[in-house]
Amino acid sequence: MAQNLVKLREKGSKKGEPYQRPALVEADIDVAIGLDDDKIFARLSIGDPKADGYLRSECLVHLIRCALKGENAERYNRLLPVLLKRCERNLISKISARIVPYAEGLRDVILQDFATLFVEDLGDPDEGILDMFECKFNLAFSSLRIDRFRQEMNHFGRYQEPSNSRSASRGDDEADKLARFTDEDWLILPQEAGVLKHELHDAILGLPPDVRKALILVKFYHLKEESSDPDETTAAKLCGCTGRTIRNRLKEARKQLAPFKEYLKK
Amino acid sequence: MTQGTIDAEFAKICHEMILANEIPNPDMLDTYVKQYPQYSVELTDFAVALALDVLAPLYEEVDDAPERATPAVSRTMSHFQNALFDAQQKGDVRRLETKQVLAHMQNAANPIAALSKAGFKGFACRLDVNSVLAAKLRDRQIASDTMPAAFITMVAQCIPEDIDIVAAHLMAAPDQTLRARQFHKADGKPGNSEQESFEDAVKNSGLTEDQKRKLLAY
Repeated sequence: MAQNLVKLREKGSKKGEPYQRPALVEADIDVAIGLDDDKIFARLSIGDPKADGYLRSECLVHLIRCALKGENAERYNRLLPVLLKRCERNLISKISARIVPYAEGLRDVILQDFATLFVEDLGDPDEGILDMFECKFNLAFSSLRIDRFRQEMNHFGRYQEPSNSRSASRGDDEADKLARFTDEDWLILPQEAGVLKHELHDAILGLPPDVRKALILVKFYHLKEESSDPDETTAAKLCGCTGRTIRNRLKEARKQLAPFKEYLKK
Repeated sequence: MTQGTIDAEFAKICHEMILANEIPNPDMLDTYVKQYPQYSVELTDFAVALALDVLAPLYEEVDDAPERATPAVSRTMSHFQNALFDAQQKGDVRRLETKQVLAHMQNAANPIAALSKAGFKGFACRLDVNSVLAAKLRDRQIASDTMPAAFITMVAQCIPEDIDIVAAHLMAAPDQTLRARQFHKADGKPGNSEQESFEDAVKNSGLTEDQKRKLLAY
């Protein structure tokens, strides 16, 4: 039986508020912490999140932290690979070789960043680096993944152009024609998860970084291109350019995404 | 690929932002940029990446074999063990039993060790090597970065096993237990100091001249 050696920090968040695990996670941990190694290891084979006995990722994080602190090498060496595999599956679905040419390497870096957090956490338990992963694992891991992805975007700027992109096959003239639809015609990007078609998502990733940023800020976050109010957050302000530049970038985005306009219509 | 360290302060802000706003929204960006103006550029980039992530097509499926480690997981575990070992050496964390750490550094699946005696012999025969070289492959005694890719592919075909699993096995730390049946505590960080280069292994394994020539031609 393991001891509960890890407690969430009382002033965990930047605002000094405590992190709180959801009730289901708390209940999971309460049960799991009382199980011996054999029983815990038996539950690792349950891969369906809806099945009884499935160990939530938040619970796994807690158990691994306790095992590291309690020097139970067998336990953390059995639990961590299962958690890493879940992370890897998430990464495979989000960072595919279709859009990032060195996807496998990038996925490795993110997995290793995540695994290293356990070592850092052990070295500096007061920092509570992993507390958030015990509360909302998927979101916390998304944050880690997206931050690394952001760094890569900045480093490389534009990902590979989709090899079968329709704009390439149609030629510039036709793309120009298709671009001549009015602003009302083309959609504000929907704020629902997982709604874009592969082709469109790839095409957006293939835009030049400045164009992509302008597009997302205006069409996803609904920021104004510019404003006379100096306190208002606008796309121009965040991009460090003029409203006119933002409009030019949107025009460029519209031109490049014209072949996909049926996916963008309301 | 960038190898920059994670800015812990910024990472925390990102966590906060994403935990407080499962679906990104304009107010979120506005609030955080105003609250942390020193990170306005990074936060904007993060928000863009977050939007792209949210919009990405979804894949959901149940894992039928959650405990079956993949090569990426094996590589990460190896990285984790090294980081843990380094931290222990620096005194950053309390000392764990070194032999426990070493034992788990060999966790990558070993598809050659899994062969029966006859299977091992057949593998060596198909690869056209003697049992000495086959054992060096089994015990990870050859530095994987000196092996030609075509040779690794051939090893995978001769076992036969998935190329990723074979590559992960060859990249893992040398398997002391299989090689010498000796258990000892390491004085230093586990490394590849006991590994031979591919060329040396071919030359020093008692192979025939014809076998050596074939192997070095990979």
